[in-house]
Amino acid sequence: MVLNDLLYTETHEWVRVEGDIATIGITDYAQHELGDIVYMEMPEVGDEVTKGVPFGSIEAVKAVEDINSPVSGEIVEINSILESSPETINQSAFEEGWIVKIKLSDSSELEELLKPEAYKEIIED
Amino acid sequence: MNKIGFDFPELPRKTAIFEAEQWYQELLSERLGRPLEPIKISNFGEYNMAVNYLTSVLEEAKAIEKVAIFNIDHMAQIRFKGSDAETLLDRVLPANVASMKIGQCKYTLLLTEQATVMDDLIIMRISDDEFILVINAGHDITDEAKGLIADADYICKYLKDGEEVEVKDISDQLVKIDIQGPLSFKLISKLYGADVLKNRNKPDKNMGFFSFNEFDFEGQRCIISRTGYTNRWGWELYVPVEIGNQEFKRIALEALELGGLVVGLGGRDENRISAGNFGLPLNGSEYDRKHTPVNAPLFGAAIDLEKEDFVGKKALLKDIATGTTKRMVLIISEGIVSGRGIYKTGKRWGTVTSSINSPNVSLEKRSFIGSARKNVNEENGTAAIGLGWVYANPFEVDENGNDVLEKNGEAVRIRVEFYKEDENKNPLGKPVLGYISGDGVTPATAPKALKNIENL
Repeated sequence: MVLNDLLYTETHEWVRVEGDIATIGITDYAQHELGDIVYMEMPEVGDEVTKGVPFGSIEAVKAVEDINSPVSGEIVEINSILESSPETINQSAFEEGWIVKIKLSDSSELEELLKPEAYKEIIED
Repeated sequence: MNKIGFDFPELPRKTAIFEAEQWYQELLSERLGRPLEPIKISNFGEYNMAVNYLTSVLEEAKAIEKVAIFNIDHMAQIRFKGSDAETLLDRVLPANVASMKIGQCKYTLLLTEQATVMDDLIIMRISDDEFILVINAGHDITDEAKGLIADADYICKYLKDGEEVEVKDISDQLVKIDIQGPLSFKLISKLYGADVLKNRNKPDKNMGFFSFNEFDFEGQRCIISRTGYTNRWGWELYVPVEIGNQEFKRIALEALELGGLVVGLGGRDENRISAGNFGLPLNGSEYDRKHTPVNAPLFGAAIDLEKEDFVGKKALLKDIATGTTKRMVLIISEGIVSGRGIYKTGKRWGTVTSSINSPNVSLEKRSFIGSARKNVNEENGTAAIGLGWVYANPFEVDENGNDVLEKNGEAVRIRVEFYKEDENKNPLGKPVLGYISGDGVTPATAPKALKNIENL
């Protein structure tokens, strides 16, 4: 499943842009590949993040993967539900399972992200 | 001699019971009333293998609680037959093959001349002049360009002129299905009759640990051995490929009736680490072509140093004589630590070679980590279990030379930290917390008397 109103990264994060705030999560494809998610290592509100650099990690039964920030900016909100119920990502990767909200410092970075069609090609390979 | 190993396949291979696995996946979705999800697949030994059918966490618990069924058709079976079969295998393998009785299984290693590990395997003595070697997936491929040599071709390099041994990869004739867990006895008795689990030499007794029987089912010759990779009560069944799909379906169906599941390689990985004080090593993780197996947990069982000679003996003795102190340890940690460095008060102790999250770690063992993670501390939570090599024995040693794993009735646990490292092995970032465990995760039931489970 790929939603048409989102942007994507090659490392399976999604980005929903509203004004200068970007909501970040991992895709439904990624949660399915990972399997049962047991723990999220989250950043803190106020942390500065850089495009392409991990801001946290996501741990499933067999593997732990970095979550790479798709954009640069400041963390303005984290989804605290994930700290107690990380499996929310398995159940709703694109909605309730969002991970952080970032106040963009350079909105031109959004142009480098993948459009839905391009992301679809990556996961259908 | 002609090459025995297969050419490197262009695409990962399918096991002979691929069709039955798809059937099982559909059955599972019907029974659980959930949408049909594709089986999660990963390449293992150039075979497309199921990582899990349902979820790894649910499957991991089954070998302990009920019964776990595994499609292990990716492993290969090599038959050595002829008047010099025993001589050849005894010349190469570090186990005492000549002393093996008919009906006996033996765990051993295949070593290089440098005493590093090519493979680990189980050898079965079928008759005076016939043996079957059960080897790891992908060790059936000989491809010089890729630097691969099949176990069979490697062993045959040591064949002498005039010796009579017929070596054949019989994997395409046999399907291997593992049946493990406390209800395995009940399942097999029901499907194949209780007699197939009797001791071949003392029919009023049950089969001994590391023995096997041959039996006929619907006119087909089958083998069942009391062995397995879960370190728990269980069997490995070999059926002719003609009835492979049929038998896998019957076994899977019966397992579901008993509250068990078919378990993928994810669950198998957890199961091999979570039983016993030290878990079971995996070739490619704990064993590799760069290190000797000295001080690995099953070293004594796999290698007979009293033997006059075997491939790698000289190098092995040299390694032991230099006072090799390395140890394999079992670790319990708040999260997955694969490949991380093991540190104690800032000092590097070694490296993690395997790590996977497990639902089988008791709350008491998880709480000892002192983690802030919720999943580690809740009632039905998880923690990661794993294996690693450390440079020196972390345990005290008693006057008999045995590790002190228990003190004042309590298991010895050594707190350590696990760091990611840069290319120069400098620790990076925040550590994951955990400890080296002297008491493992759950007991190894495999060698215990079958009377514990025969009336379940």
